[in-house]
Amino acid sequence: MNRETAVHVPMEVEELETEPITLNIGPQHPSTHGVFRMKVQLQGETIVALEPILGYLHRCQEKLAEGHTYLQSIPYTDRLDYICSMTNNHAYVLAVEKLAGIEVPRRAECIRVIMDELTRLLNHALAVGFLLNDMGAWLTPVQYGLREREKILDLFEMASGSRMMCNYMRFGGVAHDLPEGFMPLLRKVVAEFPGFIDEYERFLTTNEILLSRCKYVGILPPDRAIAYGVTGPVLRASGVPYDVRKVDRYSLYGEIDFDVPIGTVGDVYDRYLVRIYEMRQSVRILEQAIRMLEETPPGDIQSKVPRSLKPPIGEAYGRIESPKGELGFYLVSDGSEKPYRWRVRAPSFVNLTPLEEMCRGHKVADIVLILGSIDITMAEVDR
Amino acid sequence: MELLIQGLNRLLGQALPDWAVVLIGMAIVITLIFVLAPVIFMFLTWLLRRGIARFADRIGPNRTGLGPFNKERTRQRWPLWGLLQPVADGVKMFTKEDIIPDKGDKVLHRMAPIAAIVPAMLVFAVIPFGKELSAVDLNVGVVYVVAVSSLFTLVLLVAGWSSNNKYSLLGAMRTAAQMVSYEVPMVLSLVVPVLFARSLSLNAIVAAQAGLRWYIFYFPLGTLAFLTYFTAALAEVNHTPFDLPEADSEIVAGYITEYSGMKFALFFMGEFINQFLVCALATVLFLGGWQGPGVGIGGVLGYLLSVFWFFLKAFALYFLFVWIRATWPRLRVDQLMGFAWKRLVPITLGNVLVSGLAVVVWSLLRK
Amino acid sequence: MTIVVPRHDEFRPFGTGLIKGLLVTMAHFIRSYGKRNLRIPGKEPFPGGRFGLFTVQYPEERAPVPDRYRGLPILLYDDATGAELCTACMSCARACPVGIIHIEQGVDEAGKKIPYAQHFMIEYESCLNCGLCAEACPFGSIVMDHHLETARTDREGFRMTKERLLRPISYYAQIAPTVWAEIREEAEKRLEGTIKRRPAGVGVVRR
Repeated sequence: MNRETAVHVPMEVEELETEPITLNIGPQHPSTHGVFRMKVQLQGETIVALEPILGYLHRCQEKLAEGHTYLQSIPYTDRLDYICSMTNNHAYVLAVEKLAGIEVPRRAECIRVIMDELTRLLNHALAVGFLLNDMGAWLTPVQYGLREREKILDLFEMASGSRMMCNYMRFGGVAHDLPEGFMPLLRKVVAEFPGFIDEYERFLTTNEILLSRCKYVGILPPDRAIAYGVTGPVLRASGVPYDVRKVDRYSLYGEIDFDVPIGTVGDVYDRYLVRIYEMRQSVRILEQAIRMLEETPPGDIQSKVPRSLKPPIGEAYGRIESPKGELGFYLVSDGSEKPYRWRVRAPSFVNLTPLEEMCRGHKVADIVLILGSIDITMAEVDR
Repeated sequence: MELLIQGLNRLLGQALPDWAVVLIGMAIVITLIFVLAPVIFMFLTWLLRRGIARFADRIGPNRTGLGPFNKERTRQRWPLWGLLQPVADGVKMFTKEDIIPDKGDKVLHRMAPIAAIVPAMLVFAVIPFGKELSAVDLNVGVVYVVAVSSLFTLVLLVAGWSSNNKYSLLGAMRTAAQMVSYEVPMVLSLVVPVLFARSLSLNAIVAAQAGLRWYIFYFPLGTLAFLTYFTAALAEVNHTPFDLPEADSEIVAGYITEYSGMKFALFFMGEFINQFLVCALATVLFLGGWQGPGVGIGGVLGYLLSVFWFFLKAFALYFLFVWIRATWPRLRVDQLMGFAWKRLVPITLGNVLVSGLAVVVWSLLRK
Repeated sequence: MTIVVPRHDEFRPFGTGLIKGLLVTMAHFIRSYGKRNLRIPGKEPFPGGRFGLFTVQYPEERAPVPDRYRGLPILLYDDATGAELCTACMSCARACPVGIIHIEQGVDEAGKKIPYAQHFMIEYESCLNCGLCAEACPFGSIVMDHHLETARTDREGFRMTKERLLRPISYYAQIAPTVWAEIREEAEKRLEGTIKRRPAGVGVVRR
């Protein structure tokens, strides 16, 4: 499929006058990744306009956090983007540490990096699987991805006590140290994961049907991506080499050597490939982090922090590279133990804004594909 | 059926006049087909669910099924094969509420599911399930099959229209367009075995493939015809990778959205029987039908072996369907239509041309 | 530093990618009849790597749960003396994000507060399973059990009072030995002090 046929040029036909119809892809839908509603205007089969309607999963988390202490908000950050709970915790904890000026011991930083990258593997395996599911491969790629996730979720359960709502990071470190069986299983997972990625690539990357469905669909040019404020794999697939891990060098990422995959065209295929390559880089980071953890002498995993934290008056913005994009927490403290303002910069929400521009000119069946390639979680969009 | 009538003649020839014997024979055959079709449907759904599960590293339904009648041991012996799962599904379908849209056409809405299985049952009549075991031996079998199976397109337009749902109508029109477009390469691929066998009768085509001279091995013309027939057949029966009209993301279920309970089950059955029929036709035309080692043995054993070989080949082809369904994503509508008209039709036309020339040249060389 | 992802635009005969996909799934199909990838305690988890059946036949087989697993909170009492560890210090009630722990401290005859919880109620249906109460408790009294099947049909059954929450220490030491080993010393030392500060007979679980 070449580039010229990607955008539909409406032809004027003198005899026929067609009106655009409005299609409502409703909140309950098998392929919208949560409760997400779209009002689409179609001219024939081609999309003319698209209006997303959000808010079906709003749970007032930002307001609730104003009534909780800083420590009590950590379980709520788990539930923001429920697939990547460790990175949510990390972003929040980073923001509070900036606000209160808390240092983190090295062993805890190693553990945090390991958990972050494991979360990235989790998320991308699921995202690619569900992209294929939206395309119609009946659950087989999903099952392969879920199978690898099970191994990582077992690791999370061992370390933190829960598979999904981990609640593991604390101000100044992590909650508990790694248990006995963690490192052997982690090494096994890291050793076997490249084999899984290779199998996924053999299965999917050169599949002709996938190529014809994904290439030149949903193109987002790099200047438009920057204008919309898009971050994460979507931005990198458009060709902008911006990764918060490289820019901010938070935690131990300044000492770790890894590459940032970028795309050229910015279509669905590039986003899919960027996620696959990010998985490979995550495995590389994990190997280095494991080595750093072994070289660190066993020590504290949490620096001394008062039970009820009262940060000084001020504001702080802490951001990390979550698997979906730049996740940021903006905190304003008034000196008491409860925050004055608690604001989440959710990557899925900002990445959704160019949806209309990406979908215009394509067919209806492409909407689901483009939405799947942005990789949103409605819990994060609506908070 | 001729066999049956001869047998019945011997039994009852003295008591009843000829037409009565023929009538009894026809009744028995019709009953057999009406029993065989749902049983095949149930087996196919079982095969589909267990197959897709195994491709995804899991087991599939294994709680309902054959096993020791002792409840305690059944609970421990979990590798049951789940063979009664289709029966459980059938019971579930029966007990669902029947919803008819208020503003739709009620008569058509009731009639469409029943009409959906009629073409499938009609095609069953000509397929040779074994040695001399076809219900009717038409000498224009191939033409009959093609004509009758294209009635399904009408049925689904009726189904989409009577639902009074613009998305059902959209889905029905898309499906109809897809089926009509893929008829052309399918029929053109069917012409190749007809040319090789020089007969339109399905029995004659099977008989001409005796002794492993199957048409799929006639490289390259027969193989290409098989591949194009298989691809076009995948699209005819709305199977992955051409199942956009029915498993769609925005028009929920296409023309069967507004059907619930037993009506949905009938559409579902019609679809599965169509898939089986397409596999059976491919077996008959390209894989030698009921031919196989041991069918030359006289007596009941020869007949049984021929039936066994036929079903083995047909279900092996269906397993190929399941394999494809578990692996490939689906095409978009415009890509689907483009593939049919821009790629398959020229290939099949060229194939027919070259096959015709080859047959003529071969017969000239033999003289 | 940056890798440009390859777009596989080079020429390939039509169908090679499709066939490769078919072969991958067929490999999984054939090898799913081999070993099973169970997580059995004591044995190597996921022995088959990528291949083999990955599902567990619930409820006959259950995947094991690690020590640190956070189910729902329970209260502990000492096996030997029957003394409850809880002193009604309200740390867990203050730590709970949802505010579902309700404690009332007991008083002795003179009206002075004693380290004993007269009433202790947790609303199980709203529990987040976050474990902050267990982290906050200085006496090792409230800990996380390994509940897995908690469904009920009545809402009142979820209001857990103290009798329903109490479990012996031996039970917790058996299900979560590593976690108990971390808090055991501190808990036993403080228990001695607690028993001394209570009037006789108060805070003892009736057998």
